[in-house]
Amino acid sequence: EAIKLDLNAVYGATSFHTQGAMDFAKRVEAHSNGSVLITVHPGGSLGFKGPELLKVVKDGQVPMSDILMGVVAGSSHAFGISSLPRLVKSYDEARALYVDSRPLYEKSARRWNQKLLYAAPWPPSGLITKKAIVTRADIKGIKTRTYDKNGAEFLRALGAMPLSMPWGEVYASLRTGMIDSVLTSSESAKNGKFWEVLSHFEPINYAYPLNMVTINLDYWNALSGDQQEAMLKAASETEAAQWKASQARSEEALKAIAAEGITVTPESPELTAELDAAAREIQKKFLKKAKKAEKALLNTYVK
Amino acid sequence: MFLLLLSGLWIGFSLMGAGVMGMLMFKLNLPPTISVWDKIGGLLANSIWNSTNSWSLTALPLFILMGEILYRTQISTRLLNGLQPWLAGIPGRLLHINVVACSLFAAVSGSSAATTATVGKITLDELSKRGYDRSIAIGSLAGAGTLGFLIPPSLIMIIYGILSDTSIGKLFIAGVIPGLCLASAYAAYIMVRAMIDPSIMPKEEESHTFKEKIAASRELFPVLLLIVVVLGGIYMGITTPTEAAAIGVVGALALAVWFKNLTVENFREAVLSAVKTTSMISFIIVGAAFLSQVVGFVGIARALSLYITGLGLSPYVLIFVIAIMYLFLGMILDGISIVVMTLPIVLPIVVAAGFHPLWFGIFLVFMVELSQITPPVGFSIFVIEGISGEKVGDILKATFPFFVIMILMVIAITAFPDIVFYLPNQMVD
Amino acid sequence: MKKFISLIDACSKAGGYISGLFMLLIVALITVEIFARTLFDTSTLIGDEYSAYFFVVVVMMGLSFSMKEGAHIRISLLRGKLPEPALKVLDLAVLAGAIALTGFALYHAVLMTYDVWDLGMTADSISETPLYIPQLVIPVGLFLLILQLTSDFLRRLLSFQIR
Ligand code: NA
Ligand code: NA
Repeated sequence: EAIKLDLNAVYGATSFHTQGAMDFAKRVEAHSNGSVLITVHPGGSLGFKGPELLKVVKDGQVPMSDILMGVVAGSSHAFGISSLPRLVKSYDEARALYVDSRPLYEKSARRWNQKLLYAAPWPPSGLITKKAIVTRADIKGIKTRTYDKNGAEFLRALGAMPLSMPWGEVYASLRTGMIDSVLTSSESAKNGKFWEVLSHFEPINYAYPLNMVTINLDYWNALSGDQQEAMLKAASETEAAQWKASQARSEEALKAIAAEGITVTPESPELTAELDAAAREIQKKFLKKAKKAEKALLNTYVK
Repeated sequence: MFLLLLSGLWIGFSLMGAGVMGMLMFKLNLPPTISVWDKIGGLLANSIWNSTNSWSLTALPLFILMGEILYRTQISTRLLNGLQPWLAGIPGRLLHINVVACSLFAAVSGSSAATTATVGKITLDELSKRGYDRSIAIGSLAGAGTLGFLIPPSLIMIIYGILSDTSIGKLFIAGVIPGLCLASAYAAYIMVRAMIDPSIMPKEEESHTFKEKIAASRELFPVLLLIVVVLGGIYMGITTPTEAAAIGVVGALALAVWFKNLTVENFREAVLSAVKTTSMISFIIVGAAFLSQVVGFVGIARALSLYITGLGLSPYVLIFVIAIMYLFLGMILDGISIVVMTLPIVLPIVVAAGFHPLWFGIFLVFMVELSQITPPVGFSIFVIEGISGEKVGDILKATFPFFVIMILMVIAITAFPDIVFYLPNQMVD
Repeated sequence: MKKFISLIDACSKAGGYISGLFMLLIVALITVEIFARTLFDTSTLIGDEYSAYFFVVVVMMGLSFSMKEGAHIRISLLRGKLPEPALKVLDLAVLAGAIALTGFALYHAVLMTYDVWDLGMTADSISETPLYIPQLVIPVGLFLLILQLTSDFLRRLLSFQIR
């Protein structure tokens, strides 16, 4: 009889990572000859929000989940690597960093009683704003919604006023002028239809945050060798496809928001220096708390 | 679950118990190393934490507290005194207060529970004191309170907009006309009832001259000021809708101090009473969150919507069957879970049948509103029971006509979709 | 026995006051946040996070108080139709069921909070708050609720004057 597994997906059914999870489920079913069936539950409909997911999978409350690494960095330090600002600035660099840090991620996952199956990045985050940002002076005083601690510290160092609020309140707050900018990807800007309220996008390649899919080790060990192999095969295929899709989506979304009237301004060299300086402080702070293995890895990336 | 509810077990516990049993009956495919009790217990503990550790829910106790302060400091009496001369000429007189006040508050709060609680706290006792029919007062409160979701800002519309990739701004605008239509329909019903049966209101008082009206309106000033401050804060971008609740509390306190009827004693009573209502509602929310989680694992909502969409029905029959399905799900689940669990399956089918996602969003908001007033799990009913002390059965009876009006409104927007599309179409893209 | 019951009543009442205090703290925190933002162009950056934690306190500490005050609601359709002896049995059974459920939740809430402390989990926010601190209030609140339910059970069993 087939083994049924539930996969908790945090984002909505049309989201890029949820579609990746559904694609993964299909591949697993095919490779295991229908002996492993994964049900993807999109939109957090199983009632989990994010920061607790590492623990929830550890305890087997849900057998599998997709998890945004940065959100569980408070549980395991290594998962904070991919959300460090401006550590890598292109998909190729992001991929190299992922390959280098994958052993660390696997080890952290194992400590939390789970197996890392695959991980793929969100399209890189940039600034979507009301006025063009060319110099540091333009950043001063903008009221920006950020999604994590690093983003808030980064923008505060640059003189902006970072605010945290649930994604659901972002659109209304942009409309009323409570915030005037968002640190997010071109993809999310497109899905949120931000051209209705904002006019400029600065692709500052702030970060390529990774989203991973893990499985609880008790569930994993209950699978037969063939089934495990089928899952690993599906995972590596989905991973490759998702990395490609992430890049394609990012480029398409950039074109789409431009077509809707958003002006895309490339980063000026002057701004680059300022942004890097602010990012370096955060990277250094992260290194202070890092373990040996993390330090060894990151020293080749932190300049 | 019905058995648990009937036994008189508190509702929050009944939902939890039903969830535990649901998990026990469901084939979980657990690996041998994980015990089923640990899995259920872990889920339960997690839902207690996750459903209460919520930023958007914090607005709920604050709006309740604001209502309590207004209620205990006679600002509410002033509101009614001020409105009385204006409504005196209309059949039904002050019975319209719930509809008017809920429409105003709906523009401040994003949820029905907060709207119902705030307005109910101010109006219900005052209406009874003045000799108005309690049943209509309660029914109109339950019906109009759900406007909280239809008139922007709206939690449900935000969630729908994100899940369905529809413009939240357009959804907000689209809700305005149906919301006002619904409010007018309630008002019309109250007028008709009042003309047929004048005994539902106290004997007519002497008519008011225009001068008296103006004089009485001064009594309205404090509450209007409060509404302007709260609404202004949101629309001028000073506060988020959640934060506006805190401003409301501070404003209500300031008014109470201004009118010199804030005492330590009534302040203490207001806070403790808000604590009671808040924990009562939140406890049910915790139970509902846990049950929804179980339903997610078991896959009832999924199976049902898959089954219906597999029938291959014509568009109007499809919408009818989907409406029935939502009414059924609305009995046992809370609105947000319903939307999250069914949308991924239902939306593509509905769109394929030729319905516009914007229209379906408004339709869904109506369905969620209906779920607030259907037993056994209906949050508006629980809120009203909490503030009025009436029995659930009586509340349901009082609410029924307004439930029917809401159904008629759903039929109206299905037959005349322009009610929904008119305002969004005026927007420039 | 009466002393025991009145002690529990006092605990529940204290819980209610703590709950009310935290409700006011939410108002204060959000007000400070709004003033900081509009007048001084700065932000506490913890406003939303801590008001959510405070809300957990409001709910959990208020649970037993609102149970004591009879604010929790139930469907009393059947209860209204039963004769007194049957009603007593039903009430005792319902209370026993509620105690069992709360006990189950308490046990797992303790496990969860312990785990979260043991694993050193912190919030993904600037404050990096250790999550076990706001979670601690869940077992405390559930424990108070069990005490209150037990007190109600004894009261009903011994047929003391019911509120
Ligand atoms: Na509203
Ligand atoms: Na309902």
